[in-house]
Amino acid sequence: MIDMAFQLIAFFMLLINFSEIEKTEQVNLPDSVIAQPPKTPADYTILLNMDRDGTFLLGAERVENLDALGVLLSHEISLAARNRVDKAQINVIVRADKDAATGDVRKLMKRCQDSGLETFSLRVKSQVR
Amino acid sequence: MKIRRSDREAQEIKLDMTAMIDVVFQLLIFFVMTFKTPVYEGDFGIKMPRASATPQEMLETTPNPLMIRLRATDNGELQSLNIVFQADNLTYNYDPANATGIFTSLNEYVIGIVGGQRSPMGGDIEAELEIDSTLRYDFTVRTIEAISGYKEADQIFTLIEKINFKDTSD
Repeated sequence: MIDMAFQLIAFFMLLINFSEIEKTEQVNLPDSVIAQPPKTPADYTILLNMDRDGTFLLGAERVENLDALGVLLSHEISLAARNRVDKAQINVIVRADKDAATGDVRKLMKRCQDSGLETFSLRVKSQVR
Repeated sequence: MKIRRSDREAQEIKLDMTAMIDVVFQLLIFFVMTFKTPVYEGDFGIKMPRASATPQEMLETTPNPLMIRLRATDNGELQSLNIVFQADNLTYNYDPANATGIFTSLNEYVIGIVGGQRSPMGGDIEAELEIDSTLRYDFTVRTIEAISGYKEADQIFTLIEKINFKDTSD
């Protein structure tokens, strides 16, 4: 029995996905049958989460307003530059709640554009219909 | 010489596993409780021009975009979808009883212009979305899905890859 318990622990430990940490539970993504995970990972990504109320997070960090986001984006862009990644190549992943207002998502993307970012990925839940 | 072990010594080497088994079960319960079934996520790629690009510059790069306008009701639901492309100007009203119908119509229209003879540009068509700011994001994604491609027999066919948001001053 103890052997079986160890096997189960090993199984669950292997299934833990640490990349899920930055995905907030508050975001209920829209679903799609044709959206596919990217075939090749981007050189540098910035993850933006937005919940249904329009509150947004950079990674797991809550951002108060768009001005504060601008400051954080500048920091991210300088980090990418240190890794020799041009800001045009930075992939901004937008994980917005399906009940969020499109205008709020658009403002978020506009702020990113103002910082010189131009490659966006609108993240959705892949679903088989 | 034969060494004989006493019964007392034989009893002392017995290990007490209780504490370890307790810890193992605690760990097992922790992992079972925190286990989440993985949710697969996909992306719709959108290349947006820099904010400094003027509308004129955008027009020069997109000679004949497919214009799609989405109008919202006061509570953020979709009201109507308007397609403008070349001589076409079509408007579809959203019917909540047939929620996918409007997007199926859009998808069929895009298949017609990208896959058919009506467009000499083929896959070079760029779609430009003009969306009311109050519209629920779900409708925006479903529109993007309808113009991006379709799935047939477990195979995904790409339609329009260049998708842009029209800059509205809201």
